[in-house]
Amino acid sequence: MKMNRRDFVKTNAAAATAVAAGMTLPATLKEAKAADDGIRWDKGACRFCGTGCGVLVGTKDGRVVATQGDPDAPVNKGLNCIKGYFLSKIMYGKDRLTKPLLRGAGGKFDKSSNEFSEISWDQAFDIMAEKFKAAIDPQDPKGATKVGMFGSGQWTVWEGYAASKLMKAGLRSNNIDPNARHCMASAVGAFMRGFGIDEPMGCYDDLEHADAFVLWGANMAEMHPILWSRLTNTRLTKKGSEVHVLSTFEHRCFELADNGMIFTPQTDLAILNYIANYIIETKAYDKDFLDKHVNITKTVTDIGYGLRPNHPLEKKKTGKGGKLTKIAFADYAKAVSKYTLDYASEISGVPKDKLLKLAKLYADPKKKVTSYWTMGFNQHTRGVWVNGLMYNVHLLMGKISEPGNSPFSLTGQPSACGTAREVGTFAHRLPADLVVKNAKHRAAAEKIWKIPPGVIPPKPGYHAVLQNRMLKDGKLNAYWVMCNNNMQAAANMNEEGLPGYRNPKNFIVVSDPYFTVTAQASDLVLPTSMWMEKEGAYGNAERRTQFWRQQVKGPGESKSDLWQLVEFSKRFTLAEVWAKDVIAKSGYAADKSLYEVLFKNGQVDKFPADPVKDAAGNVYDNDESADFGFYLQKGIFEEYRRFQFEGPKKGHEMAEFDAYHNARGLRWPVIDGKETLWRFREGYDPHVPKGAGVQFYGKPDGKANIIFAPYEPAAESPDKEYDLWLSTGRVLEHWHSGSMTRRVPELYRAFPNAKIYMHPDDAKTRGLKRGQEVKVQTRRGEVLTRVETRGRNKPLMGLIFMPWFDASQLVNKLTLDATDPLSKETDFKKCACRVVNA
Amino acid sequence: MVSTISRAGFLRGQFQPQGTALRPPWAIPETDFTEQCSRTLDCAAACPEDIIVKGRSGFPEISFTGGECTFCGECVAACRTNALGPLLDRNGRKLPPWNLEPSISSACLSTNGIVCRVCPEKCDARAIRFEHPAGHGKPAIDPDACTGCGACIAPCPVGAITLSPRQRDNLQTGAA
Repeated sequence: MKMNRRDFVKTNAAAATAVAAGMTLPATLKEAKAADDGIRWDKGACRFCGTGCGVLVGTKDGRVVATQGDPDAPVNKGLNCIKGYFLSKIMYGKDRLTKPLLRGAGGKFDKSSNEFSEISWDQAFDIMAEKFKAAIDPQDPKGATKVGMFGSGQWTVWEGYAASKLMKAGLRSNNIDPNARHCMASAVGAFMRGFGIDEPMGCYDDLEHADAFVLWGANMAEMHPILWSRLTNTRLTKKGSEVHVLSTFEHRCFELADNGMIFTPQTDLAILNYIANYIIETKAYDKDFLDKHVNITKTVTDIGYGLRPNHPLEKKKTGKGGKLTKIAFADYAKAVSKYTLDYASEISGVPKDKLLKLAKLYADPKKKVTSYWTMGFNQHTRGVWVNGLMYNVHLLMGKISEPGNSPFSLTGQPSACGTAREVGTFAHRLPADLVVKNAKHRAAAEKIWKIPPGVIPPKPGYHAVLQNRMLKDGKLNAYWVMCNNNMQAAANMNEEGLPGYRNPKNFIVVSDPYFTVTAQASDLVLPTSMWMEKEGAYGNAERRTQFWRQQVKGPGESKSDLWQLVEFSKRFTLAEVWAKDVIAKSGYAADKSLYEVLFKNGQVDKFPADPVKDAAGNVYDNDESADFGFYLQKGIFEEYRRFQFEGPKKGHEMAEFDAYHNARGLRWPVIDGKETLWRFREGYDPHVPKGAGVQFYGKPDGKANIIFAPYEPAAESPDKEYDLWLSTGRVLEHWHSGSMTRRVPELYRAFPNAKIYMHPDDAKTRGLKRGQEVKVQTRRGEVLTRVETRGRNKPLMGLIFMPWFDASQLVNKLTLDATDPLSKETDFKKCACRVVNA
Repeated sequence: MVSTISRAGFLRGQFQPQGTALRPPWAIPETDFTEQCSRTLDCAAACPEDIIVKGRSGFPEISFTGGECTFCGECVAACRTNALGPLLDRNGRKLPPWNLEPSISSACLSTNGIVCRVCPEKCDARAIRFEHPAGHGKPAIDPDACTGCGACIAPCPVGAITLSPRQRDNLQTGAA
């Protein structure tokens, strides 16, 4: 685009006007202005996806006025996506909550009321404590099974840690699960089964090291745009590089694809087994690597779909669970031999030449291949299986744990890794990869937490989907939802979510900055400080832990999740939550508060509340330190580090707290101040001893598992009555349920409402026109939306795609709550629907 | 003349600089238009897309904040004076509705290293294309393919796209 004199003048005039009008400006202009306009810039991490872009946060007069991509951040090198660019606005929606709200008029709780009234924090915690205590029997050996919490991969590290500790060590309930269950649980399951330790072995540096990239159910161009920029850069500048894209519909990544493949939903299982078969038949596999570093196993099959036990599909199943059986290589070869090119092509609908090209890429020992996947694999009723089948391919070739050769699970939330997974906010987990059902792990946690043996219940609690079912069934009665919007997210809202929240037996608390769909369905809403209104830490998909300082104060009486969790712990004495004999063993007085036992325990309160300063000497608020009288975040982080260094599992070590306030993030394991880029390989990972070459040290014998799993059909497929596949997902402009991005005017304008992407012929045969209002119907509900037959997503006939951010079009009324029976993660990508004229 | 956007106008999404008001399609040249137009806004009432608004001094103007021009010609049909039209030439061929020049200012997010792909998707004429020069795309408008429908204007998060009556000097230098 050339610019003539007139354009130039016009542009500058527009820019000047934009400043006067308080409009957002592009980064180049801002940089020029930053030096002299009194804006304080500090480093931070983006609030949105799992990429973990570094952002510079500009603050003036107590308000975040601008953000820009941090040029010194290794993840994004100054780039930003459109959401990240408008970050400063997510905190300033007009309807920020500033006071606790209780259902009922005049501050009096009334479950049946449609009205909310303002109350004080004291009153809020009064009624909340009353309801929680009523649901807890301290003498029950099973723990407090009637109380629960639904947390978040957007919690800061210390918030997740405090929540997990409050629930598991304080209230004695394992009914805490994060929304990361909807997002990463299948990836976690496969890491544990395959490698015995969570999270990817590689890192984002693979984006420059690889010769070829394969995308499996990941629309990086929209969902991980900065990583996509880096990938595109490699594709366009590295000779011989190639990009393969697999999806159930065509999306923006296909623009760059050398080999674009659209497959029938669920047949990724067959395609991956075909690739393994090709590698074995052509004898391309790395025999030496397999002999030294890999065990061959198979998993139990026909395991159902994680629906309620009375569902016909659950009654039909013949297998259960995820037990692995060792098999010989020949048995594995025989098992995958069924997945011929003909069969894979026939079942998937992908032309043979494309599948062959893909198989040849993986089988070429000279090509460094990095595979990326996100929700296409994870939100899958065979999610753990399909993640595992991906590792099978990489392990067969030894293409793993070295620069450019990387199977890499991308994440959707900023701290799904750093918080939900690493500090263990899942119903079955404890910090640093420990699990509640392992007695040694519980003992290690109890020792570090300075609580007596037997406090942590051994049985995993209710996972996300089960929590909604138990709420509906009246078995979970006091419930705290924090930092997520699950009423808009969890599948089958009509039949499970909403009846559960509105069950008269239950008291639902929601902590959020905004009055979300979830808050609207709750009984008590707690106004929450967000992002730069508190000191925080996130861990991204490449194991990078990043900190930020509190930049501004939250509005009104809003408080951070961390403050809420720790302050609420003051409301309980040990006598109200622990059994008498447990208290006797503890040596603590029965009237000691949970706050004193969990947080003012001589560890978490170890560091003084000194002013937080940056290198330039700027002083920052820390509202939690000011309130509690000690540096709460630092105390929690240092106690958490004890799990990494004293716990029974190595490999999660992090640097000291202060190091992160200075670094642009560090990738764990951090040993002697040095981060680890590629795990399990000598020379890169300090845990691998000299001479070992490769060691998968998460497993006792140091070997990873190849796990055979067959193709099995989806829980629900199109039929005569409901004749289309419904796949759900996201768009670049909005993040998850849109509670933040839809409050940014620019993002709202760019993509105001959800719509269905449909093949023009599918529209035509139904007599529908582009832009027309339609009803999408499934067996569970219906949603009004509009038809789009052009644009960024181009499904083949037989499938529609609907994005998920729009609170006025609740897609989760449509989706089926079928889950992977192993990971308990919902399949949001596949159910049967029909589209009719509205 | 250096044209500026007023603060109030900018906030209302009026990205068109003052002094170069966009008239409805098939409008006669500006000097004649202000003489011929009755300011009764019949065109605005007839516009199914609601993009014709009452502008300065009561004359109709195009505002792309709420929609795009589909070139349906309803405004011309509704005009009771000679300010709009004709739609067709003597041989019955449709005349061009207007001669607008699209431009993308330096405020464009994509040209500033921010991944944004809003505008090309709105362009049914495929006049806006993204290229991948250095890892992430930048938009370029093909002025010949642009119909001036304005569909790209409202969704642009930073109001970087403008459509303005094509100027003589622009034509000579081959703008955009």
